[in-house]
Amino acid sequence: MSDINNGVGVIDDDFNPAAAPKAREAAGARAATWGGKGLTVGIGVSAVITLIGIVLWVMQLSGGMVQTAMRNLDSWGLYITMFMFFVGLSAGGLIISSVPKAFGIKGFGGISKVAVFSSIACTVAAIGFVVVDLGQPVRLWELFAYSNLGSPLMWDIIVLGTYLILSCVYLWAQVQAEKGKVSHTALRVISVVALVCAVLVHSVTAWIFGLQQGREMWHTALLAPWFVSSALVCGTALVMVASMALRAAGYLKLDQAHLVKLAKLLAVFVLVDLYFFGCDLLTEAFPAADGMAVVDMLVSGPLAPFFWGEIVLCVVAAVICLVPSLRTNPLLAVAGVAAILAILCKRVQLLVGGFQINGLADYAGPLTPMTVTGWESGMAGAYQGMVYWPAPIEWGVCLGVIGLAVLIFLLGVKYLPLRPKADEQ
Amino acid sequence: MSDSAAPVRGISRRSFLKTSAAVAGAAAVSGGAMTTLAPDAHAAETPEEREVVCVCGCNCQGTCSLVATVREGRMVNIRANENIPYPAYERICMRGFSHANRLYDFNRVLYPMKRASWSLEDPHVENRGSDEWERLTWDEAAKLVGETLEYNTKNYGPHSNCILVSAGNSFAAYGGLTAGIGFINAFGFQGLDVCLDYGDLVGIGEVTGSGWDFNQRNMSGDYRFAKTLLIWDSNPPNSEPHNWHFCIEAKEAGANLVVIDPTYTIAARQATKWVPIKPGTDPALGMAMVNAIIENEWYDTDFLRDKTCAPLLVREDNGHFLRSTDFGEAGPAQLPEYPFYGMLLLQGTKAGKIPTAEQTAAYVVWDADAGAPGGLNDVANPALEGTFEVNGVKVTTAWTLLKEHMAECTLEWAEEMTEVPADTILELARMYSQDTPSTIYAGYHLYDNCEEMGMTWATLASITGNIGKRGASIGHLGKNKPSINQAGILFPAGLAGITDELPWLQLPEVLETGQYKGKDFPVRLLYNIGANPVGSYAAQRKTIEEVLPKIPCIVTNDMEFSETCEYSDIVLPCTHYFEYDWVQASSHTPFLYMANKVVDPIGEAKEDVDIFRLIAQHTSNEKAKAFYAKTNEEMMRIVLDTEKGKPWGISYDNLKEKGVIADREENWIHWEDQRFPTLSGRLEFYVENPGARINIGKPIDKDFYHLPTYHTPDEAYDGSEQHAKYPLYHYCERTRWHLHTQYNHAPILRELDPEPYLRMNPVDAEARGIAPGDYVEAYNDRGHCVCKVKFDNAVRPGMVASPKGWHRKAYVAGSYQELTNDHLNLLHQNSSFDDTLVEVRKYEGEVK
Amino acid sequence: MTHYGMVIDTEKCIGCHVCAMACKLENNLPNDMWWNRVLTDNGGDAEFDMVGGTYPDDLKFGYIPVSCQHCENPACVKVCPVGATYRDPETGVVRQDYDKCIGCRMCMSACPYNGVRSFNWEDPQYHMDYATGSKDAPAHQKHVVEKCTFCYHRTSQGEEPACMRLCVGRARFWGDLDDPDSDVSKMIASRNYKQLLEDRGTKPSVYYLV
Repeated sequence: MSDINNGVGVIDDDFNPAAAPKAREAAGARAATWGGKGLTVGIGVSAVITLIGIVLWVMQLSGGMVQTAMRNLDSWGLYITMFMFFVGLSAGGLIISSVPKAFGIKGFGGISKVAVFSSIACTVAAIGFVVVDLGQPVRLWELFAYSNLGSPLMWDIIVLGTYLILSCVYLWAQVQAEKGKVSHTALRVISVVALVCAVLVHSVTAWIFGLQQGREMWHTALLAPWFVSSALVCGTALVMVASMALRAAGYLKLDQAHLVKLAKLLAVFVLVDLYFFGCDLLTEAFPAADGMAVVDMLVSGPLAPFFWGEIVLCVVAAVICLVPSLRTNPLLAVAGVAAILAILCKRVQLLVGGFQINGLADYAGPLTPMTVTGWESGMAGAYQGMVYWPAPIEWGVCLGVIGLAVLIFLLGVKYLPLRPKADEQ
Repeated sequence: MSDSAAPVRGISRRSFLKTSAAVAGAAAVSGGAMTTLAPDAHAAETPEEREVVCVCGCNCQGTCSLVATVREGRMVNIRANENIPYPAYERICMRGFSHANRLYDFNRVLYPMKRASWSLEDPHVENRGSDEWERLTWDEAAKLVGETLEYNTKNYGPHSNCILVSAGNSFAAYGGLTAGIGFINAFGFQGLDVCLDYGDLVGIGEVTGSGWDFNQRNMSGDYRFAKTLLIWDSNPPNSEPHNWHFCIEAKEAGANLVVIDPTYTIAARQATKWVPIKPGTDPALGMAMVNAIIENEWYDTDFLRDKTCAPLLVREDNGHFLRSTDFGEAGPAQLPEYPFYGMLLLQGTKAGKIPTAEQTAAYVVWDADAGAPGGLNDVANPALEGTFEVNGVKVTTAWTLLKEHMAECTLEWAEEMTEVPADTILELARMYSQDTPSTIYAGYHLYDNCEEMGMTWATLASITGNIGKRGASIGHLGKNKPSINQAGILFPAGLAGITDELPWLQLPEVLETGQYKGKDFPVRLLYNIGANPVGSYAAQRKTIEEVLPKIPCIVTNDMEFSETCEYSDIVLPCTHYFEYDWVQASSHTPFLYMANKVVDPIGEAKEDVDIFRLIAQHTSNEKAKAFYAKTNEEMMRIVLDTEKGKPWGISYDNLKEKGVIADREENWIHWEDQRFPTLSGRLEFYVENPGARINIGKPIDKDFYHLPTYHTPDEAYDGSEQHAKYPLYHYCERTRWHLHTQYNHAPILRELDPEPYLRMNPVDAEARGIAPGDYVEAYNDRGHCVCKVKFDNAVRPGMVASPKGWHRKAYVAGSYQELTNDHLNLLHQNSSFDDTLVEVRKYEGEVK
Repeated sequence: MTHYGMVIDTEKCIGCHVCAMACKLENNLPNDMWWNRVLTDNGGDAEFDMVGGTYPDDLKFGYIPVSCQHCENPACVKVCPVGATYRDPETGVVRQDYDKCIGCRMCMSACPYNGVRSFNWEDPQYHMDYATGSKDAPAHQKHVVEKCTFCYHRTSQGEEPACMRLCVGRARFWGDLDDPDSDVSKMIASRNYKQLLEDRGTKPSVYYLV
């Protein structure tokens, strides 16, 4: 059990902390590499999943994206949903790690480097999701040759690339700082830049959607700060869950006080996120005009499961984090996972919701197999439930990309000096 | 190309739903992929493009002159021909764009084929529809057909060979339908009458004397000059899209554009007024309009006196008009029965004779000034009203008879019948008679009371003078008798000996009894030429299960493998109308066209005339052989090189050069001199001697048909016997996606119109627990059909609508055509497709 | 400067689909792809070709052909990361460079006129085994975004787009919006019109007379 947890515990919500001591013993003394058989198996499994994902991706490219459920009226799907989600996840690590350093305040124990590395893994996944979504990935080079600097997607690519590089630099700087090769001032400068970049990356990702006048659901100035807050929610939650898992696996030690601090922070972020959500819903609903469609769709329409899912999960996370007596390890883990899932629900709402509201809905067009998912049941049928639901190949490719992120993370855990210094523990 | 015998699996519902299966489907018929179909000659052609002026030959009568682009021997593009004498008639429709699809259609018939177990001696009719197909050479096929015709002629008489010709392969002046009629008459076989769309023609023809010819209205350009346009029983934007812009021009010039239709169509949407009406009751609306016009004295007295039968005196004793010759040695005249002749193409040839003044001199009218009878041509002021006595015979003017007869048709009566408010009816009557000139743009009233509809339209025109004038006409289509000699190839053996056609609706009884008009009448062969009786005719299940099995040999010429081909014994591949040279005459346009060959025929397809030429060689009929010894060009010259065509510059050579020649003025007015081809030369709203459309040896109630008299449809009315069981009125809509049963397999059209459906008002659907997207079963005693339901608020509650033309196999089960009514009305003998009641339930079975 | 534009009289459009078919054939569009679609204006109450509202007094029905609106302020052009979709300065036509398109479908999300942009979700399939239409129309590619080009291959030769050759309902008009004497300019000046989703600020070059 614990061995397996070493591998996939990062996103596992029912790992068993009781098994931790044993694992900690198994970890043995600090070494260049860390981890036992469990980690190796985890690496193997995630490598296989990644490979399967790549095979499926090649199939998708050769057989055509017609194999996905995406169509002309719902032209983005699971990949872009997961892109948004992973960009968000990537935030937490870097912000958690850099905020204390940037502002010179007390941090969250020795999780800084692992947190940054989780950011790197998530950023790679986010980029991976953009790549698997492309129809012509071999033309990726054009992004640099014919860059249209006016396109938010171009901004995002630039910022995301910068972010990835910065994260690596920041991680390297931390390691070097530990060795005394980089000054704390320099580290602090890097951490400020990294922080700015992290905020930017979420804002820009939000602008991919928020700057589009074409989609009622997306076109709001709130989207950028909201993306930042959502990123903080799921990022913090991921760091919390991951560090608990790593602590359980004996990879690092973590004061419960740090965890509680993280939990409190998470609660604040969740509340801010909900506040933004409330602002947005009110702004949409109050004029009782076009925006009402958005509210109806979320509250009682096809996206209601994801809307209420998000609300309930957020509330659960906030309550656990805010009520001292509930801050037990298992419940904190639940809170973390709930917060992550809540943001995933948000991402689904945002993506599908953008397409669910058809700007030309007053007009009924001819439907062909290329028009919309579920075209056979007519326009009403196609939009009755969610206009889009992923096809099997998308789940497969998606798992592959996640597998890649896990693989990178586990490889880092195994081979990189990410464990906290003794004095940090 | 594969040499192996080509088994035909036909087509499945799937093949409609998945259009991309089209190419794979080709293999099912041809035994080879579509790539193999290109004739070898194309390889040598340069990749350069050429353009060919051609004509769409499908029988919507739009007769679009088109320009096809050909590249490497294949048709790659098409457009409306802009180079025509009157640009207002430039036209093409979305079906026209699908011709490349149709040419290389996976459902094309490619080779002559024979059903494996069929032979003249032992036809095995029970295997029809399930048998294997054997590929034949043209020689073998022609021999088989020729020898069968010959055998039947010798042993059962020429009339045992029944030939059913329709316009599936173009309604041409040379080619297509004309070729088929010529084939019947060259050999003296028995022609079958299709019983399609003749109902209101009969009624109009009785009044105008035009027989049951289609051509009644003015040329469509003339609609622009109408001040009131009644679009009645028609949705031109769908069925005749090219005429609609003329109607809209009238509207823009301030005309009343009124649509009378139970369904809210696009025409209704664009009209100035839509009059929703209870289905099948339209004649009552028209009759109440007649009465309202009479009561309000909105009629045109001068027109009535000078151009109609109003002043003619009707004898009380025999119902005929009084003639001075009645009292001579000959006695009362022996009158021909209206509406005349027993085949469509004779209506134009024989019915068009307008009598001279001398020929009408015998009619007697009442001289109002002298208070005495006088000759029609002598009396300046004939009485329009009154009852008189002449030589002891009591007579009444036709106008008085009409007024008295119509008095019962009150607005209130009509409101009750039609559910159109009385004041709306009054307003329609006012518009039609006062906001003139007025045109009635008629569709086909496919109910059993259709002849009354036609008579009523014609009566409306007669009493208000809305006919034979700029902006004023009634009825269907347009120009008649183009300045060509169609008879030269329609009747190769001359008119003598031509017999009436046998109505399709009468055929079941003939097969059942072996008798027709009291004589033995064996039917040994049915030859379908561009006709698809299984797909197109009413009560499909009866056709398949009761009619066809009684005929030992069925031969079909078609370009597509139609439902009828499936039930045939021998199938002969026919060219698409872009695959040979032919001549198109038109009713809807003031043009005559040379339809040039665009591409080489697919597979081994041949044009009909070439097929008949081959068959003729295997018969012993020397006259027919001599006729078919003429080349195609010689036959075209017979049609085109005439004296009467010269003023318009019509000749084979000129037409070949120009492609399109005008043979009428742009806004031609029918009957412009206001003399009509009736016996009196006047509009006879009183019908002296009504007769059946075709004499089938069954008497009609003549007294009933003298004047417009309302009678209910056969079954589609609330009080009918079937109504309790089948409360929904079912009608077949002519959509833009099909033309009769043509275009079913053009995949480009199926992308937009993928499968058949039943349109239903949500009120009726919800009452039956039916939800959008459900599959439903419509059924009655004649059959059923299972298809998707579509909620449509345009459909009047209590009605349901099926798109016309879908192939049987496109349905989950059955076909809309199983539902339709095949009742034989003795007078008009028309298929009243819409006179049909059904019930609908949710389909719970599996949908494959 | 030229600014090509289109005026469509929705009071005259009969939904005959001739413009859609002309486009499909001229541009040899792959199966199931329609750059120009004739939509049914039924308030969204019913399916394609069906009527919305309530019989008989409150019925919603009409047709509106919709293809790329060739906006003056095109949402798609702004978001394309590689400039594969761009506005031609000479003609105002929004064009699409198939060779450049990376298939990210950002433009499809950005365009408010749902469905005027289409993606080749597979290797283009055709009902026939040879190319129809103009030999000058660009060939189709898998996994790139396409849309109406205002028949650039024709207009650059001085011809009108294929859909403008003949409108059966005489409802379509084409010309230079910058030329005050053009038919389209005069119509816009003299008739009431609407533009699709005007509130999105895209400034379409297609005007619908009402």
